[in-house]
Amino acid sequence: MTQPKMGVRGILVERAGHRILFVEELDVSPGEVLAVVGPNGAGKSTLIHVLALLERPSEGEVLFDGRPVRGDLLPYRRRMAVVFQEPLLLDATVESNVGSGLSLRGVPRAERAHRVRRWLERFGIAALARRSAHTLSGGEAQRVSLARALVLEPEVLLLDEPFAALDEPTRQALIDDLDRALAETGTTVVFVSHDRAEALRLGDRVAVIIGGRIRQVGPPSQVFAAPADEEVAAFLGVETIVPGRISAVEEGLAVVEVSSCRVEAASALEGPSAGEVLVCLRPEDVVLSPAEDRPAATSARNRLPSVVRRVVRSGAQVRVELDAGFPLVALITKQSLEELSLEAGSRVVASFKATAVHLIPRHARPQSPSG
Amino acid sequence: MAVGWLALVSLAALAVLSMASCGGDDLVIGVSTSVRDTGLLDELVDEFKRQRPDQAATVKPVAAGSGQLIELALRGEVDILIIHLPGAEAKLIADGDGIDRRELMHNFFALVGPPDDPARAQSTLTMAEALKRIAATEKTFISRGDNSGTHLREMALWRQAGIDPVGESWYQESGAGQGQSLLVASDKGAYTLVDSGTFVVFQERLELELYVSDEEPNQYSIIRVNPDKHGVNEAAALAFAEFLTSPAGQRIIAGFGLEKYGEPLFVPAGPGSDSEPAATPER
Amino acid sequence: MELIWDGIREAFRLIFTGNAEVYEIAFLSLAVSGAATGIALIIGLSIASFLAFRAPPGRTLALSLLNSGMALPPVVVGLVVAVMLWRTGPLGQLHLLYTPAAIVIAQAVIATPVVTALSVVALQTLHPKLRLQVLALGASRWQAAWLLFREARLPLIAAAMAGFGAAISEVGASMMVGGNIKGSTRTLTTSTVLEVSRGNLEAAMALAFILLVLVYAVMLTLTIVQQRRRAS
Repeated sequence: MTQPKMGVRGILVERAGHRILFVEELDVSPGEVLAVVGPNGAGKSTLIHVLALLERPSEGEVLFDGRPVRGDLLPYRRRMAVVFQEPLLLDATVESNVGSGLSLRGVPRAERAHRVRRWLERFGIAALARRSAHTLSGGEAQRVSLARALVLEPEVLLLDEPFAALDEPTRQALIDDLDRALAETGTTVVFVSHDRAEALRLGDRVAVIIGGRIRQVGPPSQVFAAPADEEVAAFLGVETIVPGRISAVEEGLAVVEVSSCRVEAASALEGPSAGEVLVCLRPEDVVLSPAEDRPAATSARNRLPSVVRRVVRSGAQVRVELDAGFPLVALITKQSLEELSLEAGSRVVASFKATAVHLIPRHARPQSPSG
Repeated sequence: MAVGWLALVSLAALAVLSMASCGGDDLVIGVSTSVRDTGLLDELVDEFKRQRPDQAATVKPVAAGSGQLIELALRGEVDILIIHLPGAEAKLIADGDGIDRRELMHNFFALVGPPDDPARAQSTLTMAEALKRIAATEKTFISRGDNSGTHLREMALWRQAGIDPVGESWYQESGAGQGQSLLVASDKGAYTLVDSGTFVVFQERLELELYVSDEEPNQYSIIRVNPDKHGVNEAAALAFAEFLTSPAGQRIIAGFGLEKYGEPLFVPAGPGSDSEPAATPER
Repeated sequence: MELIWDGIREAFRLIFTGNAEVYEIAFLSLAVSGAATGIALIIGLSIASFLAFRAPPGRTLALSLLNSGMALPPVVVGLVVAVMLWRTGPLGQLHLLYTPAAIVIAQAVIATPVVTALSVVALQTLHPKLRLQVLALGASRWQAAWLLFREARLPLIAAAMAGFGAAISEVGASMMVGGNIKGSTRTLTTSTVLEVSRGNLEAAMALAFILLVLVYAVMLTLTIVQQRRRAS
């Protein structure tokens, strides 16, 4: 494995005697996008502050290029950039806001202007260059904030819920732009969000943080398919999320190859008709029937013979983890469990409608370890 | 960060220090407010600076009430006094805090009052008699009430008249300087005691007439603070005392006010009167 | 009323006949109060930054003390500074009493609580995370301070103006520690008091008028600086 670009070891942050954050070990590889998800107040922002060297932990070390960060922090801070939830723009023009980090680094005026222009265009805000930052809309301001960070061409980009305050259409557009920019630059990113969909959309790996501790780290499909514990499962909402590849699109129906299986999805994807996607499926949408049953005339387009791996009871509901050629989760009632007399090793048919399948597009990142 | 601020603050402190007119042998002159208010002090100091440029940069004349001046002298905060407070002066010398008392100049205290003279003070011969009439007719009298030389002289005169006016409804304390008290008296149509110099300066804007002059002169003296007892600038203080009592200094006093008011405000003690130790003039 | 007109006429006469003493007094007033305001800004901004950004425990106590300090009577400051600077006082060896420097010190003591208390409020109007954002952009501590002060320049310039106003209008402390010495420590306010006690009311009125004009000129300049970028 390549040396991690950045990481933390034994980080402890206490405030007023309370443990806000305790992270034994967390690394992010060069070019990787690590999505840190967790509920509000889980310590996500504190983690970003520690990584950005804006808050000194009571204990522990921050590693940069494998070496502990010591001494003057400014040179390290100048190799990173941070985008917060609020745009936090200075009372100046859009142009000089985007150029502010560069001028703090003493970048000559001509080069600054050139780089600023390029990033303004990239985020579609070149027309706003001369506007006063305080007259911008929320979405425009956050674009400026992102451009201001990316123009620095940082080695590590830290994003602290950058889309949380935006309305849905603005958010989607901005996520697309950021995703493209990250794919082009190959920047190492730590991205913090309380929104699972954002994490899936951008993250190469997902870390789940709850109550100040990292509970689970891994590829999205693995984390979502096999939550490490109850709390993680409760936060993520047990879902099936597996990587796949669109092989064909016919009459609004996408055929996705997942492992050795074919899944049909009615998800209306924009952009290229073929490519890498994440296939998402809510467990309550999965219907289980005995394996020996004749295919009944149902509207479910997907019928997958599966093997039960594990049965987890939680209250009136039962979570059934299946192997359908890929990990698949179903949520059924206790009564159904008894009627089907399911246990580990049982054979069943899992069926779900094409409209229940949600596809999330993914841009291939050349340096990404999972890619 | 902290080091940076510290550097900035000390830089500011340095700038402040550089504004100080070179520390060291400064000459602090404690002077009665009446001498400063007439403008005489400025002229005397200007001339002293011309004659003694070696002391010029460091002369610091500080005006204060006579009571405060005595206190400053006792603490060694001044080098030399110009003061008119005979009783306290004698005590300062007796206690060894002051030395080398020289008479500088004098003028007179006078009783002034409204033009219609309701207490008929004009026809009296002595201050005490005039004060008795004011008390008898209960006409308003303004007192400085600030332990100044004028105030102390006023108290002595009341004692001579055998009257204790404090607390009477017609007896009011202004608690202000000489000029301010005159303006108050003029405004209220009241009587008051004033030194003749200040009265001349203010006369133009007052509706007050001079009725009786004091029998005793209002004597201003120079006293040096004892260098054996306090860390004072003896050389400069001596130089200034010598200058004040020299013909040049005395000439300035004699001519002061002639041009502007048509009459001098102070009578110089005259050359040769310096070494005569004055007896306490009161009673 | 007549006295006011006479005073204004006398003021113009003093200004336009180039009366050296009046110019000297006016210049000293400006220099001394300007220096005091400068010192108050250096001390005030550093304390205010600490209180506003670090939010140390006891901040409310510190702020209430500072706010009380805004009402600090100049004569009290004058008395304390004078006693400190007395020959027999703890700082007597500096020989600062009855010098312009002593007035600067006293006025700085008067202006500092004003500048500090108003600066804290000024910096608190900034977004609490703006300091983090500025540091995250790669600002050194000094660059961050500069950017944040610039961001809060409207209320900060108001704080400076209030400090300068408190310094230049003050008379009690200047009189006490400066001694109102001709050609050395006479400021516009102390010489106004002197002229009143000398009975030269026109001259006093003239000095007062000059003081008002000077204060207006300074405040106008600061206001222009303050409001310049608002229009755009």
